[in-house]
Amino acid sequence: MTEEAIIRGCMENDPQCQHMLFKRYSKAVMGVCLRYASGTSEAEDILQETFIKLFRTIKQFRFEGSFEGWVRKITVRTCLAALQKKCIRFTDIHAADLVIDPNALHAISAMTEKELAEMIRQLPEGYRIVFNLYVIEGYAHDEIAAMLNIDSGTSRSQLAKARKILQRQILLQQQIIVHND
Amino acid sequence: MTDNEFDDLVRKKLEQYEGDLPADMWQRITSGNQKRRGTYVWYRYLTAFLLLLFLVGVYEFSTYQNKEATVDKFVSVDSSTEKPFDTTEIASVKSEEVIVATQDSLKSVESTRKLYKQKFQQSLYSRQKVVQNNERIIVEHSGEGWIQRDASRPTIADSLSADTIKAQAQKTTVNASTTTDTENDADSVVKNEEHDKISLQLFVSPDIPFSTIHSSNSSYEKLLNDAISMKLSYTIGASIDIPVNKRISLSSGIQYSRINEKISGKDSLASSYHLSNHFSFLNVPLIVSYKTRWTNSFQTSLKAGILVNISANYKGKMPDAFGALADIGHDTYVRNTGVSVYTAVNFSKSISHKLDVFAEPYFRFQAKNIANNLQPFTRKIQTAGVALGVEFKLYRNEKND
Repeated sequence: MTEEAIIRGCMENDPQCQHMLFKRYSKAVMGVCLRYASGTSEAEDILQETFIKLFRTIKQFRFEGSFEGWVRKITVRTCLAALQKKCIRFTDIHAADLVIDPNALHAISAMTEKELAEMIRQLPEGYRIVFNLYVIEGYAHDEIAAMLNIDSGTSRSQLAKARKILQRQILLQQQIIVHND
Repeated sequence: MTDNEFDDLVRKKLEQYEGDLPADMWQRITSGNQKRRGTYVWYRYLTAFLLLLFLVGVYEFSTYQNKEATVDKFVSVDSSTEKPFDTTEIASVKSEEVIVATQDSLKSVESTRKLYKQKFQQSLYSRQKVVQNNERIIVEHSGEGWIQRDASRPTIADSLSADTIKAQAQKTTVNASTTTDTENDADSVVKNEEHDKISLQLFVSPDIPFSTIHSSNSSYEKLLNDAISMKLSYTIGASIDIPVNKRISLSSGIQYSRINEKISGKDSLASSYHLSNHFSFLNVPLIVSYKTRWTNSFQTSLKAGILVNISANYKGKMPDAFGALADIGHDTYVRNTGVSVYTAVNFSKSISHKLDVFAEPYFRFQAKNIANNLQPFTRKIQTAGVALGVEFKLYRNEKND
């Protein structure tokens, strides 16, 4: 069955098509949820909300762009809505504690996707959200600031610190791996 | 390593990242869907059941009152004596009475025809036919018609003259000084019993809605408040008003409210937009009224009650937290807005004994947030309006001559 046929079936509330759509996109949606959520159970809750929302609003899809992009957009918005309910905390870690290491680029290549995603998930909440929105989703700082009700300067600083923490963590893990070998 | 290089590498690594799901996730999603749908259907059934219960309760209550008021008394009509006759007895008798008559009393019966007709909607013609040979007989109205009954049944009065009827009727007349004949007196007696009528109200109301929006994201809250302006809206409806007694009545029916709003601002590409949104609500009112009659033709009522929402639909667009315009629907706002509180003052003027016109300034308080739980904002819409309408008086047990 083609993707368009599945989507049209979902628009008619066909349970078989809904199940097919779920099977096709659920892992990708879970991947997004895992990057934003602070834990697996929270990610599962968001995924559940995302698909319920998706099946309810699928009639609004106009076949004018990528369906995968549309699903991703709904997933990100559901993640943000879920996190905003908890009141996102934008903590500040002192920049002097952070070291930029040029070897991080090489270290990251050696990591698996799961390891990297897990590392992002362990970032402080504000850093994690801004990093995901800017680096993965491609939103500009002004857009992120509007979405999260923060200054664009805060978005920039949260991103810079998120990068530094990630780089340090990546290098640390690389050193542990080298040491073990 | 530059930031861009680092970002690109992370993006490439994670763009297609997929996570593992628990085996029962599909079941959780389908049960979640069914649960939401089930809740909605259950809510509608509950509303329909409550409405039915309300109407049955009102009907049973009014029937019970009639039974209480039923007087198994005997109103005698006989011109041979001048025993006083209390017309309030006629006014108080509702569904069953016995008339004892002789041929000589036909004149009296004729003179009370109007009074009985207006009170019971029943012709006395059938009674006249059974009076024969100057013989004392009894006819009885048992709800199904006038029938001859056993003459041995005792009566509480024996005679009555037309003059006595007139004199006594004047005693019970509101405007005794202005009435000159029995027919006018009878009209007045009937007017005092208007609470026996069920009425149908039809109205239309221009509405002014007020919207309150809150969000933990203050910039989004400001964006919404700046973008949204409420516009003149309207409500149309019909309801049945059932009196419980002279002052208190219960009403229920159906109301359709249309709320209009204008959305204007600039989207994420800085293009200006000016759009109209329309919200439609179907509500069932459950209202209690307390009436005060100032004159024979003018009365006011204080009204309070609830409006139970049956369905809510939304059309249009609104900016999301990302600044982009998005279609609104049941993803944005709830399918059912629950219960809102209704308060009003009704000013009613009688045009005829079957028709009133009224104006009813009211306020509708929406207690429930209408924004969907997934939305990063909450919203309530209050409405003020003036219902303008007509009220048709419907008579219970109405029969033609």
